[in-house]
Amino acid sequence: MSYQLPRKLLAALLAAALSLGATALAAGTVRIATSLAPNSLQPAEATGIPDAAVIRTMFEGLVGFLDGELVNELAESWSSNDDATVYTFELRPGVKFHDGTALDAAAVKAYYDWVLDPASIGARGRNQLKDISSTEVLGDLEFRINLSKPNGAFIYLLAVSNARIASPASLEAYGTEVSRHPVGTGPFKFASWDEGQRVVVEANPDYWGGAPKVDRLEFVVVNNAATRVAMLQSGEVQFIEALPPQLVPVIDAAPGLEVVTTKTNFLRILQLNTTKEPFTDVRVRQALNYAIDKQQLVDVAVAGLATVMTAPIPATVFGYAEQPAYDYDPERARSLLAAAGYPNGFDMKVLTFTGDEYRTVGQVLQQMFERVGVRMTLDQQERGALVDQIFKPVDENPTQAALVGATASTGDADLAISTSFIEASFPPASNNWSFYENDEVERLVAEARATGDQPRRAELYAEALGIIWHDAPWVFLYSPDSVAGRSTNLTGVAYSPDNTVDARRAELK
Amino acid sequence: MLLYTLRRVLQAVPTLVGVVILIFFFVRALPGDPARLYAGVDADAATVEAVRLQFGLDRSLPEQFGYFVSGLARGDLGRSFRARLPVSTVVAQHFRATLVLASVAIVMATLLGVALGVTAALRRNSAVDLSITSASVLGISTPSFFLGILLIYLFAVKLRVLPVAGSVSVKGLVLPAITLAVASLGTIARFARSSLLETIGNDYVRTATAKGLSRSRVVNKHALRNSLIPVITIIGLQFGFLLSGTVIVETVFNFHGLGWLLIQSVEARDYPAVQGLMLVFAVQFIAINLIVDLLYGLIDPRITYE
Repeated sequence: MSYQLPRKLLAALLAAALSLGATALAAGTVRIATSLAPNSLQPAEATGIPDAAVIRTMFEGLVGFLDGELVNELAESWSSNDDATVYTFELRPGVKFHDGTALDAAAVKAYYDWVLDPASIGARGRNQLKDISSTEVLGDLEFRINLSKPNGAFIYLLAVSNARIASPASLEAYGTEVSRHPVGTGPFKFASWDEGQRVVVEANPDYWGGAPKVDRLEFVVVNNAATRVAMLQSGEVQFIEALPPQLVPVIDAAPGLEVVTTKTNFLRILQLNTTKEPFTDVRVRQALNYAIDKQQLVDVAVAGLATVMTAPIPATVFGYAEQPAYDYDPERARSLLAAAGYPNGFDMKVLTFTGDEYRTVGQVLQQMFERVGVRMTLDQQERGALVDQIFKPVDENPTQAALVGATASTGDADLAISTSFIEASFPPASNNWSFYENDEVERLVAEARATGDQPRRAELYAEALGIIWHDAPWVFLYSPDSVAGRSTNLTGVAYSPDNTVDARRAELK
Repeated sequence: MLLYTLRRVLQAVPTLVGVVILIFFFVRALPGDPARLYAGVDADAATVEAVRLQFGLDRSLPEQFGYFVSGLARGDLGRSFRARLPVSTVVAQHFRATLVLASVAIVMATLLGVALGVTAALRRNSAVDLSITSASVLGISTPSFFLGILLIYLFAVKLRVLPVAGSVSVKGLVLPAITLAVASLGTIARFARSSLLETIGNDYVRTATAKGLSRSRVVNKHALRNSLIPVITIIGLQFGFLLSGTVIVETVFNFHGLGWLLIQSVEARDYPAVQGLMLVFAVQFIAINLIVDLLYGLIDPRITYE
């Protein structure tokens, strides 16, 4: 949100509160305060984090993630051929959608064919699955996907929220309104949705994995962080998303409440435009990496609730390989700058989002850069305006550097590297805001994608990550934790590494 | 009076046309691409283009305007980009919440505000007057987020007698309505006080007192009624502001009314929703002004409508 209440004041007020623990609720109802409102509950159409958290309770994919690990969901098993062009799935028998439609190969085919149809609303899912050339029903419960080109990371694309499967009958029944009428196979089924306010899902007693331990989940939209904290303290909700670092002590001190943190596959980085002086010189980019004491940054800016980056992609992601640290070394930074022809430093303007975290991080960077002679100004822009600017093509892009976030949403290095570090991803196509290009990286990524041999892929990514780390198109900062507040009588609800809440295993004591 | 009302309604038409044109181009002049914002920052260009097509943003600006105006003529405000529902549905859902909250708040503020203002005026320069006047200033100048948080802390977190989150229910309305009413109450009390004092100074009031009427009769029959015109004007204005959504109070109490919807819509660059909301706000203000003008006639028979 671009408007914030003075958090320190709120924190001080709330910190004094003597919480009495959660009050009793109607048995079996878990209320979760989300920080944003969901917009669509059609898996292929939905784009946001709040959407994904709700979708996960109602829909399943052939495969999915559980605590960040790839697991089978509707597929009992799967295999791919050696060059990663054919993926075959054995489906779980006896599964039914909430509307009674049987989950069989024909239903899966009908659903994915709908997603791939350019006329459907599922643009995001369609583009994620664009490598599919055809789908086949091999038997009642045997389903096959053929790809137009090898993609060894394809299975991860099937595991994300956008690839979860909706009842094909629901597509026909609801037409363009299908985003408001979710019908899946998951442990919970849709009950009601007050636009912008709350989504309620109810336990599916016939769930193949066993009925959920609670009767219903309510996702209540509460945009303001201090209000979320007060609602947790008053017992109106049992779980709150996005607990800001400065309010962590309030929850820590409250009896009956706890802070729950999760390592994520998100990153905070200072992206340097490698086509603009002085960032055309790798020594300058490395110097800036040596100029930042990242652990101190994390401690000061986000109360230690983050992990310093040790590779260009998050440690939670497949293909991650640890790199030698850019240890804090202002002397070395100064000498690298001098060698690059900037003995007296230079001026730089850093574009960033509005909001507390980005401002605080920006101010810390400012002070640390100052010590090596780099004079940085911070340009905070509202989200829409910032996105406009960073997505301009290279010739028109005025951005010198930007303090932004990056994510590896599929949990695989392929997407993380290819959206940020290859030429095809130059804005406006995708997120290579540094306009970084390296022929060797391009070759390694292409080779990794063309094999289904997972250990081999890992090796290739490790090599690519080493090159990117050395070339330093970013000042590598940290991977933020997802921080939540939870009532101690609730278990089984926590963030997963993709920063979406996983409430499927909710249980009240 | 009917003719007058009709004429005023017709006069509002050019204003609304102006609002429609201004808002249509104004929201599009804002930096930020609705398709990119909807698709997500990490979406690739193809997804963004597909969304753009879906939103009809691939059309030229004049085409989009024509589409919008022709829809408006049929009473169709378009579909919200963000909520994927007709704008009229989305606005209606949030309007109810705001209408109830604003009405409760304005009734509280009016009853208390006028009573306090009159009391202060009648005991001019006394300790009572001084306390009421100071309290009014305090009410006007206390930021609503501060008051809101104080109330939440006391009644919801400590005493646990009321919920943190506001809602359209008796319990859910108490705290947000009080928070909203406090600021309006101060303004209304100050206007009521100064207006009554001014009226009391008039010759006809002195005459009424001189001919031996009781003090209460002088005040109720002669002074109060005549002093109400500016007070009603200010109540109308306050109500207009409250109806346009009260972003801060809605945020603090998680009350999802029009203010919340406006913020969400602007952040998402949800053009149809912003357009629809602005139109609703404009109609509200025009309607309230009209009602206030008509109320003048009820209070002061000398005012006629031609």
